[in-house]
Amino acid sequence: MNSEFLIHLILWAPLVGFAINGIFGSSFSGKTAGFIACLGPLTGFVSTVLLWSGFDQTIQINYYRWFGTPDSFSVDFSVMVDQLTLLMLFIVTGVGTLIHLYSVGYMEHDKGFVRFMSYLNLFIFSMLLLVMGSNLVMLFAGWEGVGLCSFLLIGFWYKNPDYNKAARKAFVMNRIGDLGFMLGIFLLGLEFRTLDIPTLLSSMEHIESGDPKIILITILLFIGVTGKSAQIPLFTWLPDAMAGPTPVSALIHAATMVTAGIYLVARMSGLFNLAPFTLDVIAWVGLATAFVAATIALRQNDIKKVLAYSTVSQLGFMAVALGCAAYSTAIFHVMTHAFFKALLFLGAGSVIHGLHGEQDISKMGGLRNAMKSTHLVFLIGTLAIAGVPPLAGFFSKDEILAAAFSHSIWYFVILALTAVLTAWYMFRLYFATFHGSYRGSKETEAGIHESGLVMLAPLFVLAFLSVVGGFAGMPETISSKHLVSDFLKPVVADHAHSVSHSFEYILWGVTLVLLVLIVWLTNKMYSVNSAEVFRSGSGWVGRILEGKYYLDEIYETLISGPLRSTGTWFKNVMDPGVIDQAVKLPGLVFRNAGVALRPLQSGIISWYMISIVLGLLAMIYLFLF
Amino acid sequence: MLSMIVLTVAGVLALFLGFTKTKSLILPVAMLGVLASAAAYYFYQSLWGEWLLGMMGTFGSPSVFVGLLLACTFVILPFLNVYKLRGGGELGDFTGIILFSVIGGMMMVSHQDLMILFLGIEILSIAMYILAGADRRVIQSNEAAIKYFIMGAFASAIFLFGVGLYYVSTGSFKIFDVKIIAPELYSISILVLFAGLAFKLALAPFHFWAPDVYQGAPTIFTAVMATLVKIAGFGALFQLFRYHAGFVSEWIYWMMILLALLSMLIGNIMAFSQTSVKRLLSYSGIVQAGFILIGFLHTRIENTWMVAYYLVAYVLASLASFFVIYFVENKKGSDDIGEFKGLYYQNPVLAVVFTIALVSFGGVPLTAGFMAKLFVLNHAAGFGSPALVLVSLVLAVASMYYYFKLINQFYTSDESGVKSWDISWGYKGMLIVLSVLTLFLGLYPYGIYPWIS
Repeated sequence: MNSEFLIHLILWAPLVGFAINGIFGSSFSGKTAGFIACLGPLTGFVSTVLLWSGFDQTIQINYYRWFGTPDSFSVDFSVMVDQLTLLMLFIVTGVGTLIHLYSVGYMEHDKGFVRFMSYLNLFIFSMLLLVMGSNLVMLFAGWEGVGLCSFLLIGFWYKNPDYNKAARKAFVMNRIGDLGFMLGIFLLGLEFRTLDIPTLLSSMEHIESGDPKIILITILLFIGVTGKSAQIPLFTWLPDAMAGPTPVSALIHAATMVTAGIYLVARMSGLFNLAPFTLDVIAWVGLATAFVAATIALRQNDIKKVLAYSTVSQLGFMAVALGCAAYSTAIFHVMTHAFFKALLFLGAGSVIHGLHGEQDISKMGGLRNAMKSTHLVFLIGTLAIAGVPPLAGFFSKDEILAAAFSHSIWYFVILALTAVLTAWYMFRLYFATFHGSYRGSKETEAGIHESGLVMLAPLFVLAFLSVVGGFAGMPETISSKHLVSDFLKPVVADHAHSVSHSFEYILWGVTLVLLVLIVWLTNKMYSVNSAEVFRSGSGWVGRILEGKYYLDEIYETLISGPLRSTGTWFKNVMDPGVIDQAVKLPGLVFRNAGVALRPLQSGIISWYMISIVLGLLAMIYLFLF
Repeated sequence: MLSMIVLTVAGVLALFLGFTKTKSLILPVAMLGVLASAAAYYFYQSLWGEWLLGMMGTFGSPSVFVGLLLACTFVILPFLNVYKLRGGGELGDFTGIILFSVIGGMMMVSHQDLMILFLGIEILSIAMYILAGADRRVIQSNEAAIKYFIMGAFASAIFLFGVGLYYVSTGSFKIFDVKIIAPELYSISILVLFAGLAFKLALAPFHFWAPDVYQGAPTIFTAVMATLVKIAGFGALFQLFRYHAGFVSEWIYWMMILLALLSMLIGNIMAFSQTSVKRLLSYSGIVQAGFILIGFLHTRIENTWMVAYYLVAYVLASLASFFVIYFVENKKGSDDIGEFKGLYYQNPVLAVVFTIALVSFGGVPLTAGFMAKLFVLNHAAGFGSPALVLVSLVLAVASMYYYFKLINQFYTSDESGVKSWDISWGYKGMLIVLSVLTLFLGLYPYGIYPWIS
């Protein structure tokens, strides 16, 4: 089929689904609405496969000139598909389809089912706009669109004030990042007189590396990334975002939206390569994020919170890869992470569903008998994220570690330590949930049930992908072909060095030994019958971790608090005293001027005529002298 | 020429149908006449490039403005039907008069000779005097007609004075290929002609008639005045300045900037304290005219689209708002701002349509009005008048105050207990189309580019 037609189909199908469900949804039965909603991303996925099969070069479609100024600066409503976009399309539409399917089962009893499905469709559309946009304004439109959908979906159960608060927090934190992003876009537009991404990147050739302007622009863009991709210091919204329904956590807050920042940096890799300082900043922020989030995850008891911090930590890994200029490695990890993190979240959702809403792992345990399928897929997901060979996470994480090692030993040490922590908290979660004996109340135990097929089917597909997904990017020691980075080579400007083979072997050996040790230890500690080990620790380390480094409180005292008291001061003193007066003054001037001038509009014709004559005479006078 | 003949025939037919018992045929015939006229204009444009010994022509901008005039008339005509229901009676007469006034407008925008321009102005103006006084039993309507007539005659005299000066200084009525004999006199003649047209366009300080007349005239004819007259006037000014602005000294631009600023300032100041919505919109129309005038700086044929785009945005919003006022007035008997309280709860479609029109006037993004202001101000900035841009921006923002004061009324719940009411689907559909076009042009401003350039 015509590839332009396929691109139209990919982009617009979810929007059509959203429109149909959004406008006529109230008269549909749940089944019809669910079917229509799933059709959007499914069409996109099939079209993506077809597009990929006949793909040979970048395709750009210009819908129309959006706006511009007479002096040649112009922004088009246009999309493009190149290798990087194609890969993201696979992730967005593929994982998106599975999660839509799962939602049909997970949300079927909810009153807002149709609303939920239409939001999901709108999200997919925005995400597609983000990855397909061929200029930064289009990308930004998608970027804001996913932010809006995230806000709507976190606060989906809007009757709960806490959820609304979480939604607001996510939105505000993202806005802080967006400000940086916007400023970056403005500066780019000022500097290069274009926002078209291919044109921008091709004009980078004449720029010297380390140009201060480029450094400023890239830092601003990265501030946007810290918001959307949950990096320090703007990451605290992501764990709170778990207030949304679990499929949302899987789709938006694990698999797709939060990787938008990583995508942005990879997309603009030609720009970031010119700013080594920014790359260092990205790497260090990524390291800190990965480590801090992993340590917090060690002491969380909410199954979704653990996964949320794990997501933050994994995003930190990706940022480190970006910081080492190993962009295709980061994208590779985006891909594998989408598989296994979606799997874990949906598995957790299945557990929560089976336990009628229980999320506290200290009240779980022994579920491996009651929920056999869920147990199996969750185990696969755990193995994948912990980096057990040859599952998906092993290859991508190994690649990031190698990139970090080739860059600096310190990167490697911190990252390796974080990887160990990752395995620890994941196996803790796994053993606490599925092993030992059930620690909840007797009445709830009877109600435990396995989820239905419509929820399990996507889980199996994701489990399969989590097992084999890593083979798309095997290291040199095994295969000379690295499918992902070879595919991305034309569009992503990788800058990373490779490491020696012997190092790879040593790394694997150490990994394996450590993994076995961790599994043994966590099994011993957390496959338990009583909830004793999940109680709060008395040591200060434990308390800090449980308190999530008290970051929320620090932000509260250092930023929100002062802001709020400034706000109160403004409200009580500044606003009525100065601002109101300043606003009222022009208003008053205009009003009084209006009243004063009113006699002019007297309704007496002779005065009107005199004014015309006077006006004309004044004009001629001014004109002549 | 053929298109004007077609319109004349349609107008005469409408007058005759008014005598017979087949009154329901009047509007369809008139609308068909407009369509036929547009078709005639479009297909014979190349054949009949110049008419009447070259006194009129289609070269360049005129075709855009003629198209705008006909399209605008086509939208207005069906709404006349509601006026008939109100007991006005003489539908045939008013339909005919509107069609004749369009002929005058077409002469104005395609003139190549000042005589034709003057004739066009008179044809259009006389039609407007009659329409302003259409409601014979209402004293305000009569007052509006008389006022408009006396002031209009005065302005025509000034315009004729300008024509005379022009003839003295060039020895011709033609607007191009002229030999300037007395440069200073010539400059003054252009200035006086400008002042004469500025009266028709209600630019300050020649605007005093506008609020009184707009308020007094029946609302449907206020809509005609606010749209057809403005299109014709700006079209004529464009045609005139296109040939002459370059010959006159740079000072003519300072005059334009002065008039634009004065219009925006006075329009805004006076609009602040109005309680009649029609009067408020008449002041807002003065402000908008000031903005359009900025697009005339360094008038060149390439700028046609910018002026035309602003006119399209302005006409869309004006028609929508005057129609809504018209329905509300019909229902409640007054256009006082208080009558609009709780409009959203009584008739949501009207409230939303009016809201979109008002924010478009104010220049809120995603509406045609925003893009129109953006283009015009960009133009001004391109010619190095940052101060003008800044002041215009401030005034545009200030205008939000009275627009939102009005919008606020729609969504305030009303305790008077007026039941929700409705208008027929045909009118509702047309109003919705106007709003959708406003939004569409805000999202896709270049969509009408091929039509207006």
